[in-house]
Amino acid sequence: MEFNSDQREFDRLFRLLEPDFDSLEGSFRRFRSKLLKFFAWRHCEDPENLADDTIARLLKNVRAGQEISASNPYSYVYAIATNVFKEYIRSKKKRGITTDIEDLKDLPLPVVEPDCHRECLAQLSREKIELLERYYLDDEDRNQIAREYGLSLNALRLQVYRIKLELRKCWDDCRRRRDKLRN
Amino acid sequence: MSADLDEHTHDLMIRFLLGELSEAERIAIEQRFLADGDFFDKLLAIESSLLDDYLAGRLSATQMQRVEELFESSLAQRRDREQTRELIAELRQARHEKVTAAEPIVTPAPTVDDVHSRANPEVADVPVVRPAWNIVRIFAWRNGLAPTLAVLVVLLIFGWLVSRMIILNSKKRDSEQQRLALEHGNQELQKTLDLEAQRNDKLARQLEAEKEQRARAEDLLAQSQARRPGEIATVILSPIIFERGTSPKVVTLKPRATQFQFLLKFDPDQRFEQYNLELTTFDGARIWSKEHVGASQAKRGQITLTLPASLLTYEDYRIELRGLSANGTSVHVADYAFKIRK
Repeated sequence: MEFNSDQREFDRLFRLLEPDFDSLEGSFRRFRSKLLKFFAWRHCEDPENLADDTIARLLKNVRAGQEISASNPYSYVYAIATNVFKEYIRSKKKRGITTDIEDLKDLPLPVVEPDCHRECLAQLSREKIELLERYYLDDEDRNQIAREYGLSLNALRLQVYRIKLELRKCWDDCRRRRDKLRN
Repeated sequence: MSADLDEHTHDLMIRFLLGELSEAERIAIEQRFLADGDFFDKLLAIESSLLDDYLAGRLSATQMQRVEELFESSLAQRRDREQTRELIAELRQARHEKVTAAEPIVTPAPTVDDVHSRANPEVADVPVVRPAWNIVRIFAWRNGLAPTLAVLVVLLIFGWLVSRMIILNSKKRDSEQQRLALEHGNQELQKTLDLEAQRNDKLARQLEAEKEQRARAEDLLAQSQARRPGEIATVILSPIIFERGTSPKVVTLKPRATQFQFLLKFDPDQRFEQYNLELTTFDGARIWSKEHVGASQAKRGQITLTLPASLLTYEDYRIELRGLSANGTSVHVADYAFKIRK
């Protein structure tokens, strides 16, 4: 067993899991986002931590010689994630922790400054802004909007979702820049 | 990537996000979105759309409650919800600013056309306005206001009727095309789903068969390689009980081999779906571990463990075997001990 080729192993692993991305970083981000949503959709309070825990175990096992099936690599990931989830539930019960949604409401959210909102919206193309305005502000039937854009309803949803992702990334970058300037 | 989604899959996704699926259905969706990037993207878009409907108050009372639970469950989900809310507010603000900033149209004061008034003395001075209105004004002055208005109205109605016909025909064609495309898409997706289900079953069976073959091959390999000195050292270890005040008998190894193969014996009545193995020193330092060893690799009360000799130094070692019960509880099965003296 060799321990001196971690980087290559991880590269191989993440490209096996997410072959559609050009870079290791892209594959890793996509992989992590899936795990994050796995735990979020199971209503876990801290899906990011659980996702990272799952990744750590996967990497440890791969380093220890665990082979991942090339035809269905996610089956092993699913098994680990499920175990992590079960341990999380057991640990909660053991510590007698019950989560009250009201408690979560008190936790502060990262703030996106109004200037960042404005700046990022201004960077969108006119067509995208018009689409968002029609989708969110006008009381139009969404099927109608989709037809006028020559899209199915699901394609319209996907389009709006992608624009929101673009804005989210812009907001995060803007907030980081402003935090740096302040510090 | 095709963005089309048949109604059944769309419905499944909504019910998955609202927590309304059975356990088996939920597992199927989870496994699918992990393995299938397209499916994952569609599920994210559906979640986003559900949030939009929630914020617009378009959901039933039960759905509203479930969506609220979903987006209150973690900081990350709450952040998504608040960012969408802020986006809508920003769009509203931007539109309002656009509307209030629009300037009213000011028509320039008309100037007198002396030539025109001289040529037609009976016609009052016609103010000179923008060139676009000249034809209308001249017609109106020559024929009267009422006929002019009537002609304008007729022209407008005619234009409107023509444009409506064109739009309706176009919409009709688009609807028909979409309906055909959707039908075709539905059939294709159903075929794909059926094929995938069959393939999954087949893969599961193959995996089980391969695991058994591998276990048998490992046993055979252990037997054949043991005849070649200096390569693999095979060691049979029996369970040991660590009790205060006693010195359990421990196997001492002086290897010249490159690998150790440990045949760990345990009570065959202690059967589990999966096993975990952990190698530590007697001081408790963890050296190596392996999780999720399947039951097919633990046959007749024996598990085979192969480790490189380079992993082990001049030390006393302990191997712990634990079983995972069906409810996920980890149960101690056996301890083993050996020493390395190089």
